[in-house]
Amino acid sequence: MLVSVTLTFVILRLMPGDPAEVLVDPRMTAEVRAQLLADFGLDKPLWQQYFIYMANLLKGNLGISFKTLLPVMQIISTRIWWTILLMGVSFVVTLIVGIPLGVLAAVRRDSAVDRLITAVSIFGNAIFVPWLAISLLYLFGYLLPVFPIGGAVEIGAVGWERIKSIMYHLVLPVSSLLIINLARYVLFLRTSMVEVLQEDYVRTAQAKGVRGGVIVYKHALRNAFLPTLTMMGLQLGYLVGGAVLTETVYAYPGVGRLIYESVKQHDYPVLQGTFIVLALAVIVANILTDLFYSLLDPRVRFD
Amino acid sequence: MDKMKGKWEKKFSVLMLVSMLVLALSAWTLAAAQPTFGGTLRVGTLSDPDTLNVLQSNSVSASWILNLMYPSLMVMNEAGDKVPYLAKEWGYSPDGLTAWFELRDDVKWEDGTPITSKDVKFTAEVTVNHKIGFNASLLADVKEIRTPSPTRVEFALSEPYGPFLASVGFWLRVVPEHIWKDVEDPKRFPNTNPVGAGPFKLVKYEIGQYYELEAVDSWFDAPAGRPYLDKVFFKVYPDINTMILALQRGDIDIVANPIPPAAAARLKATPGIKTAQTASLGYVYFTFNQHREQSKALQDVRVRKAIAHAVNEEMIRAMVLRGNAKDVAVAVSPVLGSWHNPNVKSYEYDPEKAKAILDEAGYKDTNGDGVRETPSGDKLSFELLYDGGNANIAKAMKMVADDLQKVGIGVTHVALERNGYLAQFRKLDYDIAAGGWGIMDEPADYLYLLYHSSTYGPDGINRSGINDPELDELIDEARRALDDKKAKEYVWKVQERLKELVPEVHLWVETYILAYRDNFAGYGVYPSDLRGMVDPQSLVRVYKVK
Repeated sequence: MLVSVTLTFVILRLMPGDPAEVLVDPRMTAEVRAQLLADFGLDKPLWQQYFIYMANLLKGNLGISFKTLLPVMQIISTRIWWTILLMGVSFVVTLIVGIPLGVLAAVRRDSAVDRLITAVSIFGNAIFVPWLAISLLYLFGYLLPVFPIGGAVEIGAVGWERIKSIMYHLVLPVSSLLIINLARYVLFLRTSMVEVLQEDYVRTAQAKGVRGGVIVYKHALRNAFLPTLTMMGLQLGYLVGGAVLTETVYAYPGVGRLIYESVKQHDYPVLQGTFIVLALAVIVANILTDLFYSLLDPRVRFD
Repeated sequence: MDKMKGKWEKKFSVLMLVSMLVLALSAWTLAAAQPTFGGTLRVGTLSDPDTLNVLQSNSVSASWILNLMYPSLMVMNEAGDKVPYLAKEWGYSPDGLTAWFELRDDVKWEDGTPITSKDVKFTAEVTVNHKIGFNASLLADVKEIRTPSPTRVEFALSEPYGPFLASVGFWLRVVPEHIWKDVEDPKRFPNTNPVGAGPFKLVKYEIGQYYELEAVDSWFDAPAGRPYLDKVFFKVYPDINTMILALQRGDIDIVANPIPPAAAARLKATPGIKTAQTASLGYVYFTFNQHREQSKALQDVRVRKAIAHAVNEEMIRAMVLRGNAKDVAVAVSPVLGSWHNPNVKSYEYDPEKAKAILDEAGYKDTNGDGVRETPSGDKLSFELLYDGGNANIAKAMKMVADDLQKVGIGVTHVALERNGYLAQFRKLDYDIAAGGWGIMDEPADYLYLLYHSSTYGPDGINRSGINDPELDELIDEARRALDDKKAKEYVWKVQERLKELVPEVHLWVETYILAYRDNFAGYGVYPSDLRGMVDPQSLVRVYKVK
């Protein structure tokens, strides 16, 4: 954790360009510019800035945004829930769609079905995210005006209307993310399944007369799932970073879009804060993955 | 006899019918033309305001919202002239050492407190004392601020300065003293619950999503006493393509940001959508470094003139901006109305003339490699510095390089990413550098910052380092002139001298395309994307038509 924070700090500071550039109007006099730098502590030597930052961090203070002048913690905490919602829903949907597809592709290996599934997955993986997002918006938001164009919720909606509105606004972004992320789960799972289905114990079960479905789901999948689980765990941490491009195109007010906007505006405190939260999320996700692993695989236990 | 009577009766009834129709038609047209109250205007914007702290804020998108909430002393009208707003009148004392504003007495803050000279004095003092933003530089030479009456503010200057009133009047947005005086650090104050004065007030917002503004009951600038609109919403779409789709579908009624030319063509063809044009208050140019040993040849005005003749500006504007640009000869945009000297024109595109000038001045290609040599034998070749990430400028500079090579001038491209470019640009580390200014609103003021011999250096914006006593004199006179008419006379002369000196070559003033739906009417179109169609003067007049 310490390493992540330190690295983030140093890298951001070493980036070319004076952070004061963005804050400063070229017509300002030298004194005004100097004052601006002093206000944000950018005139102190780097090591001093570092220690001040670490001290604040331990107090839970992520600093103040250069631009909005609001506390970084506040900015991130308002937006993080949208990202968690978007990513959470998309994660679950991708699993629900991805696992059966992966299994199907493995079981019907080399058939037309398998080839179709594989092709679609690779397509989704290779596609340019903003293009996909805009295309979906164009097709289902404009040509067939079924879904809203951007945003997370209808302004001013309350109660049940609000919940419905949020769901409506989720459909297109989640569909985008589904198409993009499908490849990972489908292809990964398919490969593991294919391997597992060739294992001895599977053939034993078949010989014993166990029904196909049971073999596939109870025995094979459980084992094939392990590598996929590891990958999911790694993904979980990045969920919080959000799909930057997706959130931006869909005008979804999450943390991913926050990163994009802060980079554009050189808002270092916000960027730093977001990276720290990201690092934390990855660490937590890894811990959770390990715990889950032990549940699935009785061979793994913590001492 | 009866038959004749019948004929006249018939004619008479026809006449009656026609007149009734005409009356009905005019009544209907009049009624239709009469704006009605009501309606919610939804404006699309690419980004949130950088901050609601109106003193600290420094972004164009923030201004669209903040200008509706906080009044300035002057505004710019559609012709590019600065006109009264919160200030009714202004002027200088005969010795030029006092600048005064007379304020309206009928404007109140949202909470009912009247706006007075106290607020203006407070805003100016806070700005200077805490060195907040660009306005602090504008007010730096003020010795004292007096408020002899609730409607009069006086600034005591250390020396007469003509552009003072128009600069401060246009840029300073006034904040309520009774609210801000209790703010501990005005620079860090996020101002999350703003109390302002404007045709609309901010009632609700969610960062990243929308800003809801409601019309106030009475505003002096509204022709009907209050805005026709009930509400204005600003909705945030970080991606321009998404925002355009939203406009097409009718989720928003107008896009505040300029539309990329490629999308504009498509939008114009969409039924229900209209476009308007406004021009930038800035311009794009490239400058010559006349203080560098390696580019000594640039100190020769004939070389600079030849370069000006060699560049095909019209072609550049057509190819890079698809014609969405105006020609600009020297550093005063044609948008600035009466400040612009129409007799000063750009050097015509004439590569043969450029070659002739260089030949005559002794720059010939002695070794046949396509690049001329200076009389002392060095190659006539220059490094071209520019922001490689700015698509328009990068494209333009490639065309400039081609044009220069065609007349025998060598070019090396130094295209850097933005921060690297800015760093070198500031350090004056270039032979020729491209740049652009966003908003240059007060010629008598900025011409000094750009071309006076005393402002050259890494701290300022003087990029050319030109050192011409005659130019200095004219610029000084323009600044000292206390009335606009005299100042304009000198600014016109400055433009003539600038053409003779060619410190820079000006490529274009960009024109912006603004798109909106036809369900609202009454918009005004103001200069620059900073004001555009969402300027407060425009929005007080906008009304719903369908």
